[in-house]
Amino acid sequence: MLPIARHTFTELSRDGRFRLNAALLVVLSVVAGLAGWQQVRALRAEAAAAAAGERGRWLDQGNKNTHSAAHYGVYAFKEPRPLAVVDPGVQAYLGSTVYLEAHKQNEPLYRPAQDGTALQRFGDLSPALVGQALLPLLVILLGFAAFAGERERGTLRQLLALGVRPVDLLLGKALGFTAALALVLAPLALLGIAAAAALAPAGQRTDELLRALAWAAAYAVYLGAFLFLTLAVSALARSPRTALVVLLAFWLVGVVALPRALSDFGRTLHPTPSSIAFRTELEAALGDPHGRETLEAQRVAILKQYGVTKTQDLPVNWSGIALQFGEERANGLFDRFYQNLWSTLVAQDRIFQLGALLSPAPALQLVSQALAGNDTAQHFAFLTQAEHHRREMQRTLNGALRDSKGSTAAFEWGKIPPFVFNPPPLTTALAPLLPSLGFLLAWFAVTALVALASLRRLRA
Amino acid sequence: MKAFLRLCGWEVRHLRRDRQAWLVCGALLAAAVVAIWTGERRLARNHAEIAALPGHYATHLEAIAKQFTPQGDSGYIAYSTFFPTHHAMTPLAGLAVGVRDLVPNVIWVRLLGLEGQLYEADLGNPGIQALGNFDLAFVLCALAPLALLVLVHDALTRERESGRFPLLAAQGGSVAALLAARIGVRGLAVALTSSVVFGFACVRLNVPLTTESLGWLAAAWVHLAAWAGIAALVAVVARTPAASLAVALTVWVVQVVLLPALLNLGLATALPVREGLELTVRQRQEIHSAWDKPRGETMDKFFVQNPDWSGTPPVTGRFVWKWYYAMHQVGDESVAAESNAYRENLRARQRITARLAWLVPSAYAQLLFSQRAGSDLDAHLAYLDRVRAFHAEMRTYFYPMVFAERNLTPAAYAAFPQFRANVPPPPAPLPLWPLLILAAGSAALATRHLRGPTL
Repeated sequence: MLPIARHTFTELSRDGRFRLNAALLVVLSVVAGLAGWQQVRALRAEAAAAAAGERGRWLDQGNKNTHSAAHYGVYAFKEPRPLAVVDPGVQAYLGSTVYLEAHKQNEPLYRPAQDGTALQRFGDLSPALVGQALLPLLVILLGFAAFAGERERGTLRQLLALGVRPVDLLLGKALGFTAALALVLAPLALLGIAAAAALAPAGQRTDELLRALAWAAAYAVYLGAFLFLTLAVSALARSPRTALVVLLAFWLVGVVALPRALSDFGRTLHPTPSSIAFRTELEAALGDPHGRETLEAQRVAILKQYGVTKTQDLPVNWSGIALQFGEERANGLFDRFYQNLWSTLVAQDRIFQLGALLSPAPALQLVSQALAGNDTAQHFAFLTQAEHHRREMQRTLNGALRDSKGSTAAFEWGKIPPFVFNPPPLTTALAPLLPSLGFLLAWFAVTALVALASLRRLRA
Repeated sequence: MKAFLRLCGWEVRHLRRDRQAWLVCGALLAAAVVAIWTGERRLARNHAEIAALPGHYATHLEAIAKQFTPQGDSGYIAYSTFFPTHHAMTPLAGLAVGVRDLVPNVIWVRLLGLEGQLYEADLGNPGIQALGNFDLAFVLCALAPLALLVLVHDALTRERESGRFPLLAAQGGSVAALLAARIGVRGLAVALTSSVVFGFACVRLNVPLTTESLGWLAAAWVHLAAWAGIAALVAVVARTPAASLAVALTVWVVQVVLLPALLNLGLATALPVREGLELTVRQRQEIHSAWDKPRGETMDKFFVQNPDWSGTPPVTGRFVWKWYYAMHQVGDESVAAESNAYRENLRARQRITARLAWLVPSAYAQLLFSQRAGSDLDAHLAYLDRVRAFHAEMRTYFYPMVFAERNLTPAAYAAFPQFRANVPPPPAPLPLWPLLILAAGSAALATRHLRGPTL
């Protein structure tokens, strides 16, 4: 087996076409990675500067009414994740800023994709694109003739006559190809590890490094599945040409066309509600007269508690209580509406996840984005944390307003902490991905089994 | 000429018996049908969303009427009212989504400062959006060239392998003519398939026969012509059928996957656009700081730009609506220069993309399709301009009442300004000739290569 592996590897490493293609792909992914690195640093600097500016303005509000300050609000920023260098995922398609103000849960703003031309629908060049779309193609081009070519030249018969076991032949070739491919995958993996090491904040470095390692491992499994598939088809096909055509058709459908088709299919099956319908219903629920009635009941109860008849006579500031009451009522509605909305988006994602039955590409895409920290779920985590921050902020400000009766002292603005996004740790990020990970491993196992089974055809 | 036509006739007969060709065209057809079906659904959703607008608006006005019966302060009513604006998809946008699923189709505006209201996005799934769309433009830009390459990449290598080349040369036939006939006939087959598909789409999606839809068809043909030139180059450079397949595939991957992605990356790095956020933050800062300033100061700033209102009585007391709106307008005016620069920057992006895409036919065709479908960035910016104009109209309508501090009865709501969607034609359609030059250029190169000593 090892001599076959060594032979396969030597043959590949001397093949000018392999060297050219491999070098090209490595250069491309490194260029894309460095551009991504530059972008992560620029975005981070901008987010940090904007956040610092916001903080300064917030602290410098002087003797302002706390509810005016609540309306003035703050912006919460999400810094790009270090592994956006290798897989920006949905980063450009989601807003990295949320405006946190009184009474309202806002949608995130400023998606860079909104400023792009129609060309961006072709996709952005990133190490992930190279790994997901182009490396499988390299595997196919390297391996389609592995058995079919030897059969056509007649060397296969000679080898088998010499007593070489088909299994050794398969594993030897697989090992040889793996060694050659490792040379191409290694720079991608190193890029991820370097980004995690250099760009991660100190507290998250271990987590990000683990992510980078898992990221590289996921691509190795994915390419392994393509390698076994290629070898199996090469063993089964009558001619190298047939093997190539079959494999290319699979690549075209499974890697290029399927993800887009699934995207449209998901949106058709589970249409995202229109913004107006969503807002109209939300506003109707918020303006429900029931809210005013319960507030009135609350007022009567509090007046009774303090034994007074008018809100002016209360020892506390009634507007603080009323505002907080409104906040809490609205929060329940926001939770209900946004949970509904997000469950639609999750259903769309599930359609995409099921696409992994037809091709390993959707499974890898989901796993890769999630490991890089740039998937929809971790985006929701940002929105959830920002909203939590908003609610805490309102509670503190309304509480201060409530207790401000008779006092003219300015609110200590530093009591509201600055917003910091804590990305979910790796284990949390991986939990919803178990099906995709399972699909990915299943693709590897099934293609390996098919490759083994196809060996029976070698003697034919 | 007669000999060439005879060659073409022979190629047509040959093509009709070619099972692979039927398979390839059939697959293209199937992909297109899926794309048209999703396009139909997408259009239906967009049109349903816009058709529901008057209903939503009426309900909204009713709620306001209830709040302000028998009458209310015009300033407060204007503050409470959201006015719908919309950007309907043209039928062609169902076939080329462009940026339409990333930008809002509907924007509700209020009489407040406009800048903060323009950049909100529709609800959407970022993960799904990042994947792109399977629209007809994708089928025509990415899959049709591949079909063409599959059909013609071995036009010469197969002849060479089967040993018919010397025979042909001995008969005095020209290899160039043979190649031209073969690529011409097969390219025509792909072009006709695309046209049939487009015709079908026009019927399904009610695409009217306009310069845009004819321009679409022309773009599809010219795009395929450019690819036919590239295919001719592929056919002449390779020596064996296997090599020609590898070359064809490499060219396709470079042209359809790599170069557009590289263009995007280059553009995003060279022309970063981040002003949208700064604009809103600054405008908000301007507005909120006005609360702490003397009212007269804001009014004076406002009167500098809007002298028509300077004759109105001075603002006294803590809150007056005209001061409130003046403050918002001053906020808008303070970022007007940046706002213009931002839009100019976006338009520059679009222009430079179009220029750079000359050598990447699939990318250029994508721009052609989305421009003619009114689904590109320019069309969205034009929509935002219409929203701006409408917002100005709202100010013109409400300011006389607000500055005179008049009251309004619900009966007056019917006269509120309404957004009219008179979409102007795109300024100057992107020209087709860059693709034609590319087609001619690569055909000429291929012919020169054939005449070279290698044959």
